[in-house]
Amino acid sequence: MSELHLLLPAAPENVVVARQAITGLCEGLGFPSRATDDVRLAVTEACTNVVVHAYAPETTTAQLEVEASAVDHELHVTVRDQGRGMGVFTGAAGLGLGLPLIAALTRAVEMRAGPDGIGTEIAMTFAKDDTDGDDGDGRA
Amino acid sequence: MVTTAMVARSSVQTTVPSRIEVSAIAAGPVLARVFGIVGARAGLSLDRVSDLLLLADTIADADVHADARVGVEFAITDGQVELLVGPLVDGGAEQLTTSPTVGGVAVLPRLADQVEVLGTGAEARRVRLVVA
Repeated sequence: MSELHLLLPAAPENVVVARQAITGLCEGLGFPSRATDDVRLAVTEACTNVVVHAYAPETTTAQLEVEASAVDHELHVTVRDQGRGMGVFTGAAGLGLGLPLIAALTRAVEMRAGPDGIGTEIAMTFAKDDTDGDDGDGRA
Repeated sequence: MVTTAMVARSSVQTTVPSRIEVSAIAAGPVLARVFGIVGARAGLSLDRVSDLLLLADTIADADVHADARVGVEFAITDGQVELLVGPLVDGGAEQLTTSPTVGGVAVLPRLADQVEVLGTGAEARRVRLVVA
């Protein structure tokens, strides 16, 4: 069972709610501040992607879901939507830095279709004490 | 372009509720942070946001939550924060509204403007709180 399950309307003002919730979870689980910063930034980027890209602007059932589970020394976070799915051009172009940033902050990341093929989910794995990096600062 | 899309989404009224479920071990810091940002967005005074933070601690610390998971649905309506706490264990609603005390005075009614137990008897498994 997950440590945290958050369901919110996919609205810009709720990205900060997700960020605060995941930060509180990291605090509650005793994550060091450096690892917490990485989790917070990556989750913020993933949630922003949902708000900007997942739904048509007029959608009234747009939802943002965040689920997090701690296993051993890892935190698994999934950010999920029930939107149009991958590969649909939304017309809301960004800088294209979100996913590379997430990849840089995580130990592992996978972007895939959501349950029953609906929407998209991005599954991120974070290390509590990441020492795998090649530059000595905890980042790969 | 990103800003335009964000603004467009922000103007749409959605039917999706805001709900958080968190394991008891991490409920304190999670609820405090979420309640704090929700209170700020509702435009509550600093005193009332502080009361929300105390509510978060009180709710998180209470041993009344079903399956050891703290569930709260929250909404901002007309400048007030509405919280729906539950599901709770049998008798948990009564316990939550009366048992946490300071100097013999129940905490929740002093912190929230409205406290309402939803359901009766063993079916009373949710508590509605309003902070304005």
